[in-house]
Amino acid sequence: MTVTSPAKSKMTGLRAPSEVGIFTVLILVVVILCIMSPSFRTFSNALSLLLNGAVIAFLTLGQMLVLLTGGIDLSAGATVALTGVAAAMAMAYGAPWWVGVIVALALGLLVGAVNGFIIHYGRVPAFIATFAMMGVASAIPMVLTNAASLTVVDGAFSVIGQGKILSVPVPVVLLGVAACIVAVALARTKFGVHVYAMGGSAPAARLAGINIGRNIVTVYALSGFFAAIGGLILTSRLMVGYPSAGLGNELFYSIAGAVVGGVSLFGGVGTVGGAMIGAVLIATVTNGLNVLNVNSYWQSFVIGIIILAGVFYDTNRARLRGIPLAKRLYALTRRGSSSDA
Amino acid sequence: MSSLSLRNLRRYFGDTHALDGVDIDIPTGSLTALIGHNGAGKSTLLRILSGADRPDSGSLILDGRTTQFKSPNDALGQGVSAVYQELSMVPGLSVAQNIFLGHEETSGGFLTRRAMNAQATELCARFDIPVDVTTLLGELPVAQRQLIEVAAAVNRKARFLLLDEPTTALEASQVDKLLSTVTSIARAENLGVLLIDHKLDEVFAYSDHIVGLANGRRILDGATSELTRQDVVDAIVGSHFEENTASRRPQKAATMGEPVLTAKGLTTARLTDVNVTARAGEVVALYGLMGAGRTSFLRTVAGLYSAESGSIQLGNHAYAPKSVRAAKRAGIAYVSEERKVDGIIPNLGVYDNVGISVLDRFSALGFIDKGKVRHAAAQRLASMQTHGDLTKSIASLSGGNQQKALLARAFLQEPKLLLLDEPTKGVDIGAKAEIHALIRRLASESGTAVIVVTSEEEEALTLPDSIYIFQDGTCSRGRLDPADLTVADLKKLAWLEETPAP
Repeated sequence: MTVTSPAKSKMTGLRAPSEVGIFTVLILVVVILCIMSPSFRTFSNALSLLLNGAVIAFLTLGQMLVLLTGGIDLSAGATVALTGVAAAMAMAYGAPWWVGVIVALALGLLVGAVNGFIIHYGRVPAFIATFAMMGVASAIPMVLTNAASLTVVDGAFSVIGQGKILSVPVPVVLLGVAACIVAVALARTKFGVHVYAMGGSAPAARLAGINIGRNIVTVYALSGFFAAIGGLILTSRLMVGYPSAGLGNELFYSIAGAVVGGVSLFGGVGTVGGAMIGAVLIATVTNGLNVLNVNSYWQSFVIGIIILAGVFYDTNRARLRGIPLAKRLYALTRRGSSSDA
Repeated sequence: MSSLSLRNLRRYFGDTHALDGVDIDIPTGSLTALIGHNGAGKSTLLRILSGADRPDSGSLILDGRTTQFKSPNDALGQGVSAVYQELSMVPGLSVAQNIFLGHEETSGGFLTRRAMNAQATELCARFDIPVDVTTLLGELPVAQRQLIEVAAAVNRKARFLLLDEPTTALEASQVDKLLSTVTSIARAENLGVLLIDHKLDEVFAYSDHIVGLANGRRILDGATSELTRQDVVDAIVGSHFEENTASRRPQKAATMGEPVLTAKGLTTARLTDVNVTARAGEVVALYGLMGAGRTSFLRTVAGLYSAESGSIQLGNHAYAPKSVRAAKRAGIAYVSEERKVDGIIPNLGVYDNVGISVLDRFSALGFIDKGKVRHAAAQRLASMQTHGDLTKSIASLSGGNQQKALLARAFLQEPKLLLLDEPTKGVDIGAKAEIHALIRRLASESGTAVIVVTSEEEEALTLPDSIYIFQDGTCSRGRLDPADLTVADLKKLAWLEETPAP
């Protein structure tokens, strides 16, 4: 009574990683932009693309964890502003740069943890709880600074956003390290399996005795933490704490990156690799449109279309997987009739 | 030999005695079958044994000591594991991850994936399940998932295993495999298994003991080898319903019209070779145990499920509905069993709920004439003697009046064929009689063919002109005349296979 090995090799051999599709799209976009613009295909532009994308990618990383449990974090962008200003203020009061960093990170964790508590223990839907938190977190820095920007005086602080390690910008290095840690945690720890299980089937996760409350608080706290790193990078790059930072397209782009990268809005499906490719794709499109001198007002338009395509695929992925295109289109015209009774 | 025992267990829901002093022993190393008619108390018993519900009085005795199960987790901790009919595993995780879900093994904070995969592989081999444990559970057929769920339950150091109709979704060969595997594991590892099952063949082939429930009381308890099928059926059917109810039946429709619906050899995922005919002006009942396929048949005709083979004729035309809208256009109205789930729309008012299916009729240029809708709905509701404040939300009405409103919605469609799933479930006796009268009146006055799914013997005998008895996805006995049947006959026919009607 042994498990047949031919079946095994056949199963694993045929399954391509789900990131292949989106990676192909990324390569295509890069190739097209390289052909269209000489200034796009320079090494320095590639680095600046990654540098600009780092903040969004950090938000995407946190957003992905939350999405995997079947939730959403709308307060991530506001947390960027809150934590960035908090770090600048701490330093303005004479604290050394590393105290400013700790203040920002702790604040990010706190905001996220509060989100998690309200969502799980207060039973408020994630969309509403984080939407409200977005308002609260974006107002605090405005109130504290009277909407004025705060200049950072401690020069050492600039390393976070402007420093380089072996000519790679520090934010890109930080992102790489964080992405690796999250990837390992998701694949190799209890926490990871439980996060997928909660998003895949909440009732089954509960019956299996998983500590759902602790995991919910953890993923939102991590989302806040990664948003705080984003806030630190933004403040450090300009050496100015802007109370209105992160209130633009950052949140929008972070959700776009995750969804385009194959993270399901319904929970339980997605990988760090996919989400990071998604974030880089969003950064590439943004950068490409800049390099091509397209009016910046078009950026949201293009990203919006990309989100729609990603969500459309996500919603219909079960029906569309592995079916030839003609049949897929036919399948879309026949909703609602199923044979499972 | 240790055992899990229930002593004098009682559970009341209002005036209903779901369990009325039940004693049951589940010894280890053997398989105890629990059988009973719809509503006999099996589900309540299972919920209590698995920690999902608590008894009002009585005791649970585990290995000679009185205990309590505070939650499903607590029951699991004490070695009692339940496998429910709806699979409770995560399709997006691998087989091994599902088996270890909630009690993963780690070393230094990291999952020991190789070790867990190896253990899961060994477990699957023990249960003779030929799968690669890294496959996603969602990619496996239902039968294998069911086996894996049982294996996972055993792996959670379960000493008592509760299986709630594990074979309903399986084919014959899979049933054999599942039950023989469970039996041999139970013997080999000294597990106590409680099997809830409707199929006597399976019960007699695999169980060691049989316990029967009726109306919340134990009515049968014995070794399988000492019981005959007749003993079991007699016990379940009981003797308190011998009277033939034909005398109380309303006047049968004098002349039956042309066939409105003719289903021939209809086969779907849950049905095999179903033949049902309903004529104009006729009320047809579909009777049987839960899960016997009655609702599946109704929903297939209503356009919710698609047929694999066989044909449906509507009047003289072939009919293969692709959606509920297509069915509606063809003149079919359907009222579902779950009034609160897919019946009423709780945030809308009574009139809007009644008129929602026929708004086209009261619209011009895209605008609804609310007054006309209200008038039509009010007229229909008044003729049905619907009580309560009809200007308020439908949720404020009583169950019986909500049901009347749903019937009014269906009647307003002026259907050729009306499909009703348990139309009197949870309504009081007065409203039930009124609903029966309304159904008969619709059939005789407008020549509508009505098909009613019912689990209630009295309803099955007094309401319809003819009756089909479903069992295990089919109704091989064909069309029966309720005048020839008693309540006891009905119950027997729902349980016994391929026996000629008495």
